[in-house]
Order: sequence, then structure tokens, then C-alpha cells
Amino acid sequence: MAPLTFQHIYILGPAGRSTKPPLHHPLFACAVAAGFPTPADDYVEQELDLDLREHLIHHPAATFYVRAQGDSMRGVGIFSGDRLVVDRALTAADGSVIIAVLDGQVVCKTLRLRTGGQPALEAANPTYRPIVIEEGQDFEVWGVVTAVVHTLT
Amino acid sequence: MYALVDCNNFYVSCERVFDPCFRRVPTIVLSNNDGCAIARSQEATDLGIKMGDPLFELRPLIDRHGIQVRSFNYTLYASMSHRVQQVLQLHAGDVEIYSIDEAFLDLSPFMASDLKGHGLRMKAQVQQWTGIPVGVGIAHTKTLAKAANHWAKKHPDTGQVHCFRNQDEADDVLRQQPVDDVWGIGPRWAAKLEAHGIKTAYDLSRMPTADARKLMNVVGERTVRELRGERCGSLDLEATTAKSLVRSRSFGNPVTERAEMEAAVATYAARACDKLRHRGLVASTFTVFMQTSRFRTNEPQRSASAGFSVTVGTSDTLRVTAGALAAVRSLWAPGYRYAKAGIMAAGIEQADHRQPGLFEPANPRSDQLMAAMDTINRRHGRDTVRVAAATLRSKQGGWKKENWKMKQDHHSPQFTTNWSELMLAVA
Repeated sequence: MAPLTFQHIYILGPAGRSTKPPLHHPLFACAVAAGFPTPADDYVEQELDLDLREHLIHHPAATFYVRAQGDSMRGVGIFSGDRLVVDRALTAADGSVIIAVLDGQVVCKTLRLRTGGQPALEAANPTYRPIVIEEGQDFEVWGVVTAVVHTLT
Repeated sequence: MYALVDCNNFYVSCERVFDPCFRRVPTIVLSNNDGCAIARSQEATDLGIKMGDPLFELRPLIDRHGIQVRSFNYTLYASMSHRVQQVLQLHAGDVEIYSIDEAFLDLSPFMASDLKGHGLRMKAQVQQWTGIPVGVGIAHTKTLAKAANHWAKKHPDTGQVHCFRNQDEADDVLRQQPVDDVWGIGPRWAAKLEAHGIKTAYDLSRMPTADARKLMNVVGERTVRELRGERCGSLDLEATTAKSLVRSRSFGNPVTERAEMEAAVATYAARACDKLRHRGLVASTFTVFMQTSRFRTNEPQRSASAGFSVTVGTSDTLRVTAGALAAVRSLWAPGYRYAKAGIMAAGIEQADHRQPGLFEPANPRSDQLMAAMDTINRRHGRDTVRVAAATLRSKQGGWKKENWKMKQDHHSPQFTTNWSELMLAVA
């Protein structure tokens, strides 16, 4: 009988609440000697669900998809037309890429919080100057961008 | 303790999450067919717009004040409602979804904590996670929770969260609330009660139960007992499988041609089947109905329906559409201006539980076709793929503009359910 080999299979857990079926990638732990059940079979009971949403979405109720329009954030890898994963449950901090509402307009910029100074919105592109947010200006953080989906095809 | 959480101006609030530029602009949402105002922002209410005001009457006001107008975007509201519910689930034991914008929560797992603080944290989290503002009322019974909620809404100093920690606190507020504000007391009963000298919610709570039962009915009696702090009934947690499902709409323009009616009914049949499949259900009886407008009394009136059934429950769009079209043909009578039509599905059961017929083998090809159709429509938008009968060809062979389709001239995008309609951010 050949020696049994084991791979470590990490069960990531069930996919997030959704009616859509998860992506299935059944995995086999090792070669099975015909007719002889192996202890490894216990690890193959569940199919390994590699679901991208689980990787990207931590607060489903607070996560929205937003489309970027413009070039000013190329420096962080956001290109015009990309889909952004935005989590409203997170608290924006200095350096967070955020979706914000400034004077009624929805924008995507990097938040800069300076101790003792006014917050500012920076682009990730040297040709764009930062926008300092004035006291009393209509400004609100809409959500924190946690991921960018940039398709190549 | 129960909490009653309800969203402020829910439809308007949903629209403003994704279109923030009109957060302080008076806004209204219109009913199906853009008929009348069914939701108003506070600014719109302040301008004197009332619930149910028809759109055509509001035009001058809209133009003068730059009022934002939106058509009813049910898909968006349903998706946002679901999100709000998910946040509420984090703060409660059981949750009863009372309506699209209201829920009762069982707070018994949290009794040790400061309930008002709990309510404030819950409100803040709903606001942050979804952008929807809510009000919270907390009390020992559902009726009192509603009263606490009303109080919270009317008194901003509560932070829109109010808790009756005991019956005395409840009574203090009930003395200041008119009897027709009480949940379950409509204008007719309120008039009767006032005639008997019962003017405030507190007065009502003091009413002997036998009198309450005589003057109103057992429901009224329950309300009185709940106002006294006595629980009558708990949270209704069962999402009951609908016994029937109706898909119908009033037409934007009246339908006078059979071809138009067939297209409309075929569309409703497809929608009904979508809904059945989405819920994992099948139906065995379908009824098609059509009627003229009962408001146009000078026009000939007709209301007719015809049904068909299948031996084994189905949600197959092709089969149901074929049956629906046959029903339309058998029902059709020219010379009428039909204002509304629809299809009702009954004999609903779980798809897994249906009994296969003796003479009808299971049809895996149909299931595959439906699954493929659903996948494409989900990805690219409703009606990307549809049954040909649900469209109209003119005699020249081109596609006719579908006049019967519901008017929705002010529809906002499906921000949360359609990839091609996401909110845009300027980068």
C-alpha cells in the first residue's frame, strides 16, 4: 500500500449571505487506494468554496459597489471605469481612500487628516492639487474603498 | 422589551443615499405610473404637498421650487430594506419585519444594558452602514413601542430614540397623545371613542376591557390591554409562503388592441414566474384578468378573467405564457379601453415538494432553460432575454413602442442590483 500523503486544506467557511451559488472547486487530498477509506476523506467532506466575495466583503449590509470615473487616483491603482468595493462600516483614517460627498458631488479621493489642521482630499496623481476642506463646507465621508476591481479584458 | 424601528421617509431616504446633491432639496417619490406623491421629504411636506397629491396638480409647485421628483424604484427600496434589516439583526434577538420600512425587535437578550443607549447605538449603526435615518421606540408591548416611537419622532431632543422603562413613563406620554395616534385605532374608532369621552391614549388605556370589546372588537380590546403594558401576542416571525401571487399593473395608456394585451399579459406571466423561481416555488393554477377603469364612468365597463391549471406545479415561463396567451384570446372583447390586467398564480408550493404527475415526467431541459434565462437577466438587466410574446411587433416588422408599459419617467438607477447602474464617483 502506498504511503498516504496529506495536504492541509483550510476550510474558509460558508460564503456570505447570498442566494447566489458559491463557486465550487472540489479538491482531493490524496490518491485513494481503491476500496479502502482514508482518514483524509474526512477533510474532503466539504467542497472548498473559493468565493471572492468572502475575501472582499466583510460587512455585506454596509458594502456597496461604486464605479470610478476619472484619472486622479491612478497612483493607487484606480482607473476610470473600475468598480470599487466600498465599505461604509469602516471608519476613515488618514490615508484611507474614500468615497466622499463634497458640495453635493460624489468623489473618490485619499483622505488626509492633519492634527491641528483642516482635513483635505488628495488625488493620487501629481497633476491634481489637494482640496482642503473648509470649516462648515458641505463634506461627508460616504464610505471607505477597500478594493478595486480592474478587469483587463 | 420590544423595539419598534422605522425608517424616516424611507423611499426618499433611499434615493438620497445615492444622489446626495438633493439632500436638502424638497423631494417626492411618485406612485406606480407616476400618478401621485406617495413619499415626501420634510421640505416637500413643509411646502404643503400632501400624501396622494396627483403629479399633474403639483407641476406648478415643482417648477417654482425645483422639487426633485422620483418614480417608484421598488428594487432599490427592497434591497436597502434588506440591508437595514441585516444591521438590526445585530442588535436584537428575534426580528419581525412588519413592512418595508418598519421592524419590531425583541430586545430580551439585551435587558441588562441601558436600552436607550442600545437604541442610539443601533440607530447610529444603521445610519453609518446604510445611510438610512431611523427612529426607535422601546417598551414592554408592541403598541407601547409604537407610541414611544411616535414620541421620539416628534421630539428631536430624544435623539429620535425613546424608551418607556416602566408603565409610569409610558402613561406620562400616553396622556399627551391623541387616541387616533394609537396603533390600531383608525378614524372610525377614534370618532366613536371621542364621542364616549375617550380623547387621549391614556384615557383609552384606562377603558374597561369589556367596554373596549363592545365598542370596538377583540382587536380594539387587545390594543387597550397592550397600552396598559399587557402583552397580547409576540413577534410574528414566520415568513408565510404566499398562498397566491399576483402580478399586475395599471396601464400607462389604456389598451385597446389584443396584441398589446397579449404582450402585457405575457410580460406579467414572465414576472410571476421569475418571482416563483426566485423563491423556489411553483404554482398549479393561473388566472388572467383584465378590466376597464372604474373611474371613467362614461366609458363601457368590463371586467373579465379566465384561468388555467397544470397537473404538476410549474414556474416555467414558456408554459405559463402559452397558457396566459390562450386565456387572453378566449377573454378578448374589443371596444373597451382596458386600464389594468394581470395574472394571479395560486396553488403555490415549494418546488422541491411538488408531486410529479403520472403522465408528466420531470423536465430537466425546461429547468436548464429557465436557469440560463435567469442568469442572463440577472447579469444584464431584467428582460435582456424574454419570451417573444412579451414584445410587440408592428405590421412592418419593427418593434412597437410599448405604450402600455408603466410610466416611470423619473426612475433612478438600480444602484444596488444592476452592474451597469452603479453610483458614480469622480476620481
